[in-house]
Amino acid sequence: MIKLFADLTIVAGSGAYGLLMSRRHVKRPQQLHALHQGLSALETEINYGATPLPQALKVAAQGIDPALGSIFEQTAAQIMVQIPAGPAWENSCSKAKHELCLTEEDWRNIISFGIGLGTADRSEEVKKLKLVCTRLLALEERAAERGGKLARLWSYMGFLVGAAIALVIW
Amino acid sequence: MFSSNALPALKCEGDAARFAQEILPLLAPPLANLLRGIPAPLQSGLEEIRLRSGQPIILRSGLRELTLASTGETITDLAQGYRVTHEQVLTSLEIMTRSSIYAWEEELRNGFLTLKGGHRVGLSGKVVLDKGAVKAIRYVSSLNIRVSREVIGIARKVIPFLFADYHLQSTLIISPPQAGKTTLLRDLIRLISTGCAEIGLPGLNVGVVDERSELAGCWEGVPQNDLGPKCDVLDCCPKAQGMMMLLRSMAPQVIVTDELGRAEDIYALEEAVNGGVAVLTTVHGLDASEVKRKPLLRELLATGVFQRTIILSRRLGVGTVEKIIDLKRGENVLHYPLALSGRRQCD
Repeated sequence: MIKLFADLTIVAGSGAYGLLMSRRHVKRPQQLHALHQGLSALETEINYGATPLPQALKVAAQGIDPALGSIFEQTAAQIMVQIPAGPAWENSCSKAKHELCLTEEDWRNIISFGIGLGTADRSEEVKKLKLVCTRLLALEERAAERGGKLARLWSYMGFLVGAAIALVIW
Repeated sequence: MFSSNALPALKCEGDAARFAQEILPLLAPPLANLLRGIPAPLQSGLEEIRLRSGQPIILRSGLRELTLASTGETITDLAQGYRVTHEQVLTSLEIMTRSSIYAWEEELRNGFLTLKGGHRVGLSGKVVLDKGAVKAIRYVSSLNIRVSREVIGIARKVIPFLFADYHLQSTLIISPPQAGKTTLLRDLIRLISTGCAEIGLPGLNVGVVDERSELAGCWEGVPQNDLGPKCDVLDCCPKAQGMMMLLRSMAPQVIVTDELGRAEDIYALEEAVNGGVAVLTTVHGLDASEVKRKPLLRELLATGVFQRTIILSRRLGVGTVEKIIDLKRGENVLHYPLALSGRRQCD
C-alpha cells in the first residue's frame, strides 16, 4: 500500500514538473510578445511625443502582462528618485526575473537594451528601441516554433519519466 | 579656508533648504555628498557651481570663487580642489534630465536646461551640426549650474522713475553680464502685474516672452518664479514670434522680453509699441554709447520706441543702477547711483 502511494506520488510529482516546464515553454513567446509591445509603445512615446522617460515607461507598462509591466513601472519609479535609467532598468529586470519564463539569452538582450538608456538624442533612442524589438521578435518566433514542440514533449515526458521510475522501484 | 563671516549678508535658512532639496539631488552622489558638507551661509549664497571634466569643482558666491578639497573643506587654491570626473558630469546630466536627454533636445540645442525651482544649467561639449545649424551637444564635458534666487522688492526703488502721465514708460535695461538685469526685470514684472499702490499703478496684464526660460524659470510649463497674478508666459518661444502671438491673443498692456538682439525682435517691438503696449526689455552693454555702437540697437533707439533706459553695473555690488535716462528729455533722472537690495523670498 505504501509502495503504491509512493509510486503515485512520484508519477504526480514528475508529471507536475513536466506540466510546469511545458507551461514555461508556452508562456515564453507570449511574454516576449508582451515585452515587444511594451517597447513599441515606448518607442512611440519617445519618437512622437518626446515624452520624458518616466512618463513614457508608465504609458508603456499599461495594457501588458503586469509581471512585465512592473519592469517598466519600477524603472520609472527609480528614475524619479535620481537613479539613472541604465542601472534602474537592470535592477527592475533582476527583480522580475524569477516571475517570468524567459531564458538567459532573452535576459541578455533585454538587459543590454538598458545600457545608456535615456542618454542619447531621439533618433538614437529610436534606433536602439527598433534594434531590441527586432531581436525580441526573432527570439519570439524561435520560441513559438520550438516552444510548441517542447511544451508537448514536457507535458508527456513528466508523466512518462515518473511512470518509468515508479516501474523501476516496483 | 572659507569662514561663515565672509558672507554676512547671505545668511538665509530658506536658501540653504532649497539648496539641499533642489540642487543636491541633481548631482552625481559623490558630488552631492561633497557639497552637503559646505557651510550653510555658503549654501545659501551660492550662485554658481561649475563642473568640468577632470577639473576642480568651482563654487561662486558673489565675486568669490572657491573650490572644495576632497574632504569637503572649502579652499581657494584651485590646484588642491576635488577633481570632477567625466562620469560624474554625465551622471549629473542624466539625473537632471531624468534620463530623458531626447526630451530636452531644443534646450540642449540652445546650450542650457531649466530645472525645477527655476535653476538653470549651462552646458558645453561637442557640438553636432546639421546643415550649418547646431543640432545637438554631445559628449558634454562642462556643466554650469546657476542657482535661481528671486530677490523681492528691488524694483520698488526703480518703478517710480518708469511711471509718468499715468502710464508705464517703455524701458530698455542696459547691463553688462551678471549685473542683475534679469533679476530686476523679473521683479519689475511681478510689481507691474501685482500693482503698486504707492505710485497709483494698478496691476496690469503682463505678457512675457521667455525665450531662454530665465524670467519665469518654467519647468514643465509652470513658472517657478513668482511673476504676480496678471502675467502670461510664453516659455521657450522666439521673441519676435512670441510678441506677435501675445499681441494677437492675450491683450497684454505690457510686454516683457529679455536680451534683445535680432532684427525681427526689433520689428516686433515696434509693432507692440504702435499697438499701445508698453515694452520692457534688456540688452547687454556697459552704457548707452556702447549700445549705440550696435547697428540694430542704434536703429531701435532712433525710432523712439523707448522712453526710459536703465543702466546697471556692479559698482556698488550686483544691481547698481547707474543712471535712469528720460530719453525724451535726454537727461538722467537719477541723481546718484542706486544700490538695489531687497528681501529674499525665503525671508
